[in-house]
Amino acid sequence: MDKSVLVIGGGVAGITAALKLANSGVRVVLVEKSPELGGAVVSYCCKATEQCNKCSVCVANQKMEELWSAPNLSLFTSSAIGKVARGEGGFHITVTRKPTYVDDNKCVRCKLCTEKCPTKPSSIFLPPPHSPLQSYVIDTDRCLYFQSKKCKLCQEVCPAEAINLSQKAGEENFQVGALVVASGFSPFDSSRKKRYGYGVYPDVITALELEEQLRIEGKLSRPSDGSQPKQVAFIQCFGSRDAHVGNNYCSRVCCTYTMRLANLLKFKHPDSSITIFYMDIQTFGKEFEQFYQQCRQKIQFIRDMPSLIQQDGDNQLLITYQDRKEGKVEQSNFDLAVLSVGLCPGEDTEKLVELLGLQTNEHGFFKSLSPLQTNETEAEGIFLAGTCQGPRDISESVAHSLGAAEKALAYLGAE
Amino acid sequence: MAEEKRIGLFLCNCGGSLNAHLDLKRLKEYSQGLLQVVYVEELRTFCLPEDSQRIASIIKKENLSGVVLAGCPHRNSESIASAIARESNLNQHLITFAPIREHCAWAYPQRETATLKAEKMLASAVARNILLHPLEEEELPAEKSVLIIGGGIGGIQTALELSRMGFGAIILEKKPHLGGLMKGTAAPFDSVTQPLELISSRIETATKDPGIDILTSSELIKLEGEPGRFQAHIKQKGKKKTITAGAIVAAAGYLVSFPKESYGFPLSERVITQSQLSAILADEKKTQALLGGDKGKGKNLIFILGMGGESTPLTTAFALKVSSLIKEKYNWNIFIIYNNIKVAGEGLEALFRQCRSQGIILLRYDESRPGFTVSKEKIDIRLSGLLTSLEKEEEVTLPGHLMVVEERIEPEPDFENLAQLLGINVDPQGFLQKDNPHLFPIATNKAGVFVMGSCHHPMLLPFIMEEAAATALHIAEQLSEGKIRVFKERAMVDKGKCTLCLTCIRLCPHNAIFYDRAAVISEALCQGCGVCASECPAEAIEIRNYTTHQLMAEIGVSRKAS
Repeated sequence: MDKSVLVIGGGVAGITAALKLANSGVRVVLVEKSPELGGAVVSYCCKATEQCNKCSVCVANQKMEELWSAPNLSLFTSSAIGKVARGEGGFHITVTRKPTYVDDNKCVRCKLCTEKCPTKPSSIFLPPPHSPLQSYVIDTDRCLYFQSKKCKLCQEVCPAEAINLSQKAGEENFQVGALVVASGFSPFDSSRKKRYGYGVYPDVITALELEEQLRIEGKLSRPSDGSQPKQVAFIQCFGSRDAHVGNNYCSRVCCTYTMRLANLLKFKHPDSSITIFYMDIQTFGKEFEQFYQQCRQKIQFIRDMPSLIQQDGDNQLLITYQDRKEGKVEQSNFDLAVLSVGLCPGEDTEKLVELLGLQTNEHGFFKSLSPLQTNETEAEGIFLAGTCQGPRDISESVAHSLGAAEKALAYLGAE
Repeated sequence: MAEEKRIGLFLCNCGGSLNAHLDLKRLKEYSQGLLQVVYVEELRTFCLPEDSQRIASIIKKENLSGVVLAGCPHRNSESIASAIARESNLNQHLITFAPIREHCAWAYPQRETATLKAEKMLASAVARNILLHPLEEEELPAEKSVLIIGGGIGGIQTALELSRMGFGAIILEKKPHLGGLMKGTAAPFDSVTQPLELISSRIETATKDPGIDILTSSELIKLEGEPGRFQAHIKQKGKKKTITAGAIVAAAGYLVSFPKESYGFPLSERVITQSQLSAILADEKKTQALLGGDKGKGKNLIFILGMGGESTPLTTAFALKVSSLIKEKYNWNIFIIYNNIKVAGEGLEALFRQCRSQGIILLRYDESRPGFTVSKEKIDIRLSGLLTSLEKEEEVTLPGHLMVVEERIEPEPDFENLAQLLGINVDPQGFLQKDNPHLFPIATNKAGVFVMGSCHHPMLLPFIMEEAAATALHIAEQLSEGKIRVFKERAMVDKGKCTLCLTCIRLCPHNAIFYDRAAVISEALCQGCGVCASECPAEAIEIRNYTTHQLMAEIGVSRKAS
């Protein structure tokens, strides 16, 4: 059998599995649908205060750097799995690649294309440093070549011959011995729970939006008027442990990330007051209980799921909840409400399930062979890694992907 | 003074784009005037294979013994250097970089200033390169067997995975039999896995496996050596023996204890711990005697969680599974009293809901903790602040006829000793510590020693199985083909200067230093971090290619150049 593996998904899980396999002497094809590697983690912010709070967001960046010097590894970004056929010698897979026009493997980031581009501002550019996309992109709406086929200056000046404006969507065929699925998760669709006013009131945001704001701007401001919020509410279990939306499971990561975010906000803005509305706090793993006890000293915890979020005349949010100590319905004002969105099955799960002949479990994640064999699937030679199998935090995803790599190696007999 | 070097300096104009920012012609002339520089060339893009090949051929033609690449701090610099090294047979550690693109060309608006700074950087890079020594890698023979400490499910599973990959495994268990904590667990893990069946079948497979040796009633008393060939001194039933192993895995378990002070009353016939109940459930007769017949009619069986600190998914899972099982078979009113229900594990939230629909009553308390009154027939549990009715509630008293209390999960008391023997760290709670749980799960501060499973922190079964696979893979990668790669003489000890003050031995974060009339640094354990070199009061230790002499030369020349 051919000692090669195709990894679907270039997030932390996919990268970890790919690196491990490549370093073990297996030929690896890594397929990622977006133009850039890193997956969900690249939009998260570092949660360090005066000390590291072990959120592991830096892992992705480090892993990606390792990827550049890995042997036996071909990367396919902006690509998707087209056809899969099982046959002699393993899997025959067709990968379709959207045109990117700039080959990131060749690009040396010399800036020459940006400098020479006749449009002002340049229509070929490197996105700002905080953007998850860190390779040169062409704005096809402004580029003269795509408007009138007139200019090919960037392609001509590129010393690395990394630019190909006439690139077409390509198809490549691979024959591999095994598959690792690491297609990740999707955050819960916040517009599904209307009572919390997401999408209606600008100051109701998701935790992901908060992460991104902190990553890019390094500080917190209200989307409505740009002021710094004094009263911040976090609402837990948004889309998790909720039979009404069909998510009869705990997403595991939300209590952890919320407390780290709340801790970070309190550190950055000591005068702000932070409230966490919750059902049950999920502490597990190393030293997290101690972290929770520390958080209780500076953050208010209210044990109730609010019934309604409204906006009053002064541009303030009004959250209705029940005070269980007093047994009364209360309403409190907040400047900002953050919804701690849960982890849902990845958007490509169904498509991949069909292509690969797999199954989903009762929650819609990929179904593993048994509760203890979380890497294996019912299909021989296809292995699962990371959050595509169920909610996991970053370090658990890394360990799970190593397991997938091990199982794939054993299957190939590559040891 | 060492013999003259022949240094080649390559300037990259980054596809011509640097000409606008730097006077490369002047830099070329300047470089030619630098000491021991025999060859200078301007290239367009040395990150591309064609240029790397050209550099390699020039190294061979000009017989260069050092190379400085002046250009960008390229994300691929290491692989470029290794590609050039491979082609030219020049040691990779003699190829250095001077990042004049980011540090000069792009940093200064004026060409003149940028060029001046670039001159200094080139002079510095050359001055250091003159003093560099090659750093050789060496392959040492490695034992293809692994010592696993702990014969619980984690240890056994790791041994099985290793054996499947062609490695030998030796399981060291201090108790007279394998099985660990799982041996006393009767609670089903899920609909298909019965822990007792699982552990017995795994023990059976491991016992039959010719690649796995099992040493029961044994413990580690001393560990010597380095990755690839550790010498483990073992005591088995009073007899001592020595085992050679390529790597060590700590797969110990944890301890459970009843936190009496949190409840205010002792264990009794009416108050049993989760592990006591578990042991009873494993025995059909005892189960009948405790729960069967009419024993439960009109009586309350109470599970209580979260009294001695936060509950964990492990103990919560036990309470949910067992209560669901008892409710199905026996005639008891079951209550689960909790603070935070820990459902962060696959299927636990669904189980929580199933318990409710089975008629198990789940009550939660908050800051006001339950109070207890113990009498002969029953235990009265006083609860307040738990009802969801909108009126301010009063206290409720619930009579308990059988109470199952949660135990506190604690590190084993010998972890500290074990950590010391292995040369690894413990965390503030006393569990074994990994080096970086996020980046390198399983690895510890000491090369060749790994930590997996519940001795790091108590974890649910699927995660233990995942870690077992990951551990086996890590080890297979390092010891494959019975060889281990190490850097030769990365840290150097000047025996004449060493006063044996042991500072380095105490401070080495990787426990890589020993002594034998002077400090001795293990090449296989050393990670080249440089802590010993910077702390040695006698300045007897230096890290190859980061010696004081080399660094001073680098700094000194740039000062002179101004």
